[in-house]
Amino acid sequence: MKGREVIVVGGGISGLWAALRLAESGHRVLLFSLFEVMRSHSASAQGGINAVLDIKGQRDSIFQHVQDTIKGGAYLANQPPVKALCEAAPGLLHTFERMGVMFSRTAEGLLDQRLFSGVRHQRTCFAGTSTGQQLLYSLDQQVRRLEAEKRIEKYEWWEFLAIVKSPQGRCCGIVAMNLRSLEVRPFRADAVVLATGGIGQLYAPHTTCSTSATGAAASRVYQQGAQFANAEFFQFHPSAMLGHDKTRLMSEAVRGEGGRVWVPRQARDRRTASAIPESDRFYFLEEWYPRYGNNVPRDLAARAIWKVTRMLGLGVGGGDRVYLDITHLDATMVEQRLGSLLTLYRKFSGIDPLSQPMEIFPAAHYSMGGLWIDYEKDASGSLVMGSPRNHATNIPGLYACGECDYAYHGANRLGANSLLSAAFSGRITGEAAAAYLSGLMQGHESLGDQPFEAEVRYQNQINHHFIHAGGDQNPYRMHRELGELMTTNVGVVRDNGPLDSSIVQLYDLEQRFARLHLAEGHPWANQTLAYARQVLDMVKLAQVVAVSARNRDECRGAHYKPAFDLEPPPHAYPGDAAYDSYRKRWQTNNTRWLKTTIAEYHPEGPRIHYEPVDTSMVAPSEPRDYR
Amino acid sequence: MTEKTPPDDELNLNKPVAPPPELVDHLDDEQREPEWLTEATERPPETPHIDHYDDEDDPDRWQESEDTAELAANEDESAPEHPWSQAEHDAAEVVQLKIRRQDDPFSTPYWQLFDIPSHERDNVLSLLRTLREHPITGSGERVDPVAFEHQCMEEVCGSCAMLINGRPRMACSALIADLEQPIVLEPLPKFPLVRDLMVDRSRLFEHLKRVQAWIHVDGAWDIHQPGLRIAQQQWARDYLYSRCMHCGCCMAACPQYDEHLDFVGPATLAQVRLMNAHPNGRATRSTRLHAIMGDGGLSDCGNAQNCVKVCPKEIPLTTAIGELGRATTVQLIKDFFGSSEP
Ligand SMILES: Cc1cc2nc3c(=O)[nH]c(=O)nc-3n(C[C@H](O)[C@H](O)[C@H](O)COP(=O)(O)OP(=O)(O)OC[C@H]3O[C@@H](n4cnc5c(N)ncnc54)[C@H](O)[C@@H]3O)c2cc1C
Ligand code: SF4
Ligand code: SF4
Ligand code: FES
Repeated sequence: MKGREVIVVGGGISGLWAALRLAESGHRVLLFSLFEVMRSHSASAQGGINAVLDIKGQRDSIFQHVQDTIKGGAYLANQPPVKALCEAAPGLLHTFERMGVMFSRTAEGLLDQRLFSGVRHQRTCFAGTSTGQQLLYSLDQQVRRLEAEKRIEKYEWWEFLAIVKSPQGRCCGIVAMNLRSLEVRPFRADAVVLATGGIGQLYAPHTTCSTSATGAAASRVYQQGAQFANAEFFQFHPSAMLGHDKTRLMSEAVRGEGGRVWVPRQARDRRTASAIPESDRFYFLEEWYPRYGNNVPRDLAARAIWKVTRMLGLGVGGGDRVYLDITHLDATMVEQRLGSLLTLYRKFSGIDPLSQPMEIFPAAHYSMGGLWIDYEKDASGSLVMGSPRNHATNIPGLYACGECDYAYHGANRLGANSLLSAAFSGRITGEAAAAYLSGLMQGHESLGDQPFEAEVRYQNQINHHFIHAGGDQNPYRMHRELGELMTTNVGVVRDNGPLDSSIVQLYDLEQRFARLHLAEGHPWANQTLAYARQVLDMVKLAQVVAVSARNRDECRGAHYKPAFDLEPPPHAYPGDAAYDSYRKRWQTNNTRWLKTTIAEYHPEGPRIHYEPVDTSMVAPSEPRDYR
Repeated sequence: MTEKTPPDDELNLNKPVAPPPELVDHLDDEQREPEWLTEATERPPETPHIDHYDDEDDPDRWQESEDTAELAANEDESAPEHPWSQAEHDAAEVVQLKIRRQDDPFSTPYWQLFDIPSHERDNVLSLLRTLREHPITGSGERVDPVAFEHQCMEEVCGSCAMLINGRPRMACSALIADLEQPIVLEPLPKFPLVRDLMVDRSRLFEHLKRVQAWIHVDGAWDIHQPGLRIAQQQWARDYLYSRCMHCGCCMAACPQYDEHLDFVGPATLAQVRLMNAHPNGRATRSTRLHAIMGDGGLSDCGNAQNCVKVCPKEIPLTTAIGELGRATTVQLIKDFFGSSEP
C-alpha cells in the first residue's frame, strides 16, 4: 500500500495514539502541537485510568463498567462506543504496560487498582500519582522512536488555525502558524485528525485545566462547519484547591482512599478544624448519600458543595470552601499512595494536609461535549473496529478524538474514564483514518494551490488586523471577563434568566474584538497575538455552550437547572407509590430530553438541533439514585 | 420495563430548534459580524460556510455603528496609563521583579525592573501572568509583554523552568514569600534563547533519541496478554525516574552540559537507567549502554552533583549515574569477551 500524508493536530494522549496507529499503517504522519508534545495537558491527570481487570475479588465485569459509564452519564452517551471502550480497556492497559508505564503494583507484582467515585468496584489503575504523565510519556517515547525512523514528523510550536477544504467539502489539509516566526503556512494532507483537548479555559481562572485547554482549535473547525455536540455538559470537579491564578485539582483519589468532606454544622464556626468535635461536623455527602458517601459522582458532589456553601451558608468561614479531611488516615499509607498530591497541596498552599484538613471548592474540569463524531455499530452493539466512520466528523476527511470529541461520557464523566477514552479514541481514530485513506481514490495532489493560498491570506489578514487594531480592549482582561461570566452564569447551577443575559454579553464580548488593543507588535514569538486569537475563538465556543445550556430545560448529569429539577421524593424508594410516580415523570422527561444537542455554526449565533441517542444496551428505565 | 428510543420526529432530528423568543428578538435587531472580520478580512470563497464574510452586497452587513464610532471618538489617547487600579495596589504587597530580556536570538540582552502587586501565596509564574496584562516598568514605561512558557501551573509539564535568583527552578512552584527581592529572572542557560525567558529545549529530545530512551514494542496493538510482573520494591525505585518532566533544570546546573558540548546530560542518563530496568526494556539494554559509553556519554559527567540538588522532582540523578557506571563497566567486560548476550 502506498502511504499517504495525514495530519494529527494535538500531542496529548489521544493525538499520540492516533499518530502511532497511522504511522504503523504505513502513512506519513505530520504531528502538530502548540509546544513539545510531552507538555500536553494529559500530563496533569493524577488519579488513574479505568479497566476491568478484577484483581480484587469483587466480581467486576465489563458489563458493570459499561453500565456504570452509561448511568453515570445519565444515559446521554450513545451506547455502542461506550461498550467498545470498556471492552478494549484491559487490552489498552496491557499495551501501556508493555510500553513501559510504571503502574503501581500489588505485592504479587500485578497492576494495582483503586476505587474511584461513582462506582463500587476497584477498577482504576494508577502510576503513583502521576498516571497521565506516565501514559503520555510512554506514547511520547514510542512516537520519538518512529520520528527517529522518519515515519512521523513533528511540528511543535505550530498552532493550527484552520482546515482547508476542497470544492467538494473534503478536508485536504490545514493552515498553521509558527509560534516563533509567526509564519502562516499551508500543509497538505488527505486526512486530518484533531486531538486538541478540552475547553476548561472558558472558565479561567476557576479551572483545573492547563493554559492550552482553550478549545480554540475545535472552535475553529466548528466555525468552518463541523458540528459541536452536547456543549452544555461540562464537568465541575468537586475538589479543587483555592487559588486566584489557577484552582489546582485535588484528585478524587483522596476521597477514594478514605478522605472525608465536611463543614462545621454551625455557620461561621470560628474554631480551627481540629478543635471542632465530631458531633459538630457535618459530613454532608455521607449524610445525603449514605450508600456512596464521599464517593458519589462528581456532579452530585459539586452540587452538594454548592448547596452547602451558597444555599445553606455553611462554607468554612462563610466562604466558598469546604474541608477535605485525611487527618484521620494512616499517615504512612497516605504518604505512599497519595504522596505527590500531598506535596502539591503543601507546595501551593503551604499547609500540611496530614495535620490540617485541606480546603476545596468545585472548579471547571472536563468537557463531556465536543465535536460531533460518527461511528459504525456492529451486530453485538459494539463498534466495527477499523471502520472509516468511527470518529469521523461531519466534514469528510476530518476526524476528532480525545477530550475534543463528545462520544463517551454522556452528561457526566466518571473519574478515570477520560484517560481511557482519550487513549481508546486515539487508537481507533488512527485506525479509522487509516481505513479512510486506503479507500481514497484520489488524494490532495489533484487540488490546486489556490484554496491553500486563499486560506493563508485570510489568516494573515486576521493577524495583521489584530496587530494593528488600535482600540482599548486588552485580550487578557477579556479572557478574565469571559471566565467570570461563564463561572457565574453557565456554571454548576444554571437558570434561564442569567443564561439569556450571558448570551447577550458573549455577543458583546465578541464585538469588542473590533476594538482590540494587542499592545505588542513584535514580529517574533509574539505570544499576545496567538493568545488574542485564541480568546476570540473561545468566545465563539462559549456562545455554543451558553446557547446549548439555554435550550435544554431539564437536569441531566452535569447540566443542572433547579427550575426543572426532578428529585426523588424523600424517604420513598422503589416499590413506594410516590417513587413510582416519580419514575414515571422521569421517564416522560427522557422522552422529551434524552437526545444529543448538536450546534451548527451560523454568523448570528449557534443553531441547535437534536439527534436521538442509541440506548440499545442499557435501557433508561431506572433513574439514577445514589442515596 | 424497557423504554424505546422516542421516534425521530419528536426529537426534531435535523430540524433546527427555534431559539427561545427572548433570543430571537436580540438576534434580529442587529448584525453581529465584527467589523474587522467583514472589512479587513476575507476567507477564501471555496469554503462555503463563510458567505457572510464576503457578502459585500448584503445591506444588513455589520457596519460601524454610531455607538462604536462615538466610543472611539471619546477615547482619550493622551490619558496617562494607570498600570494598576488603586484597589489592587492597596490590597497587595508590591514585589519587585528584575527581568533579563532579549527580543530575539540575535539581539543584545537588557534588564528591566517591574513593580507588581502580589497576593498571598503568589508564585513567580502568577506574577508574570499579572505582568503580561500590564507590561509597564517601574519607571512607568509601557513595554512589550515578557515572553515566557507555561502550561500546567502545577509543576508537572516542565515548561516554566528559568533562573530565579540565579538558581534553575520552576516558576510555578517558586513562592514569592520564600524569595529575596528584587527577584531576578533570567532565561534557563545552556539552551538557545528564543525570546526573553523562553529557550529552545529541543536538544533534550535529540539526546533521548541518541540513547534510544524507549521500549521497542512491536506495535501499539493488543497482544492479548498482560505485561510482565514488577515487584513493589523495584517499582518504588524505578518510579522515581519516570517522573522526569524534562524541564532542563539539571542540565542548566550541570557544569559539563552546554549548548556547544556533546554531553547528553543527567536527565537523559537517568532515562537510560529507567528503560534498562524495565522488564521489556532489558532486551535492548546493551544498545543504550553503548550509546552512553562513548563521547558525550557517562564519562563526561564530572560528578559535581549540581544536578541532583536542583531537580524539582527530587530525582536521584547521581544514584542513576553511579548505577550506570557499574553497568557500563560490566558491559565493557562483556564486549571484551565478545558475549552476545545483552
Ligand atoms: C487536573 C486534571 C486531572 C485529570 N485527571 C484525570 C484522571 O485522573 N483520570 C482521567 O481519566 N482523566 C483525568 N483528567 C482528564 C484527562 O486528563 C484529559 O481529558 C485528557 O488528558 C485529554 O487528553 P487529550 O489527548 O484529548 O488532550 P490534551 O492532553 O489536552 O492534548 C491537547 C493537545 O492538543 C494540542 N493543541 C491544542 N490546540 C492546538 C492548536 N490550535 N494547534 C496545535 N496543537 C494544538 C496541544 O499542543 C496538546 O498537545 C484530568 C484532567 C485535569 C484537568
Ligand atoms: S531530572 Fe529533574 S531537573 Fe532534570 S529534567 Fe528531569 S525533572 Fe527536570
Ligand atoms: S553529577 Fe554529572 S551530570 Fe550531575 S551536575 Fe555533575 S557533572 Fe553534571
Ligand atoms: S507551568 Fe508546568 S511546570 Fe510550571
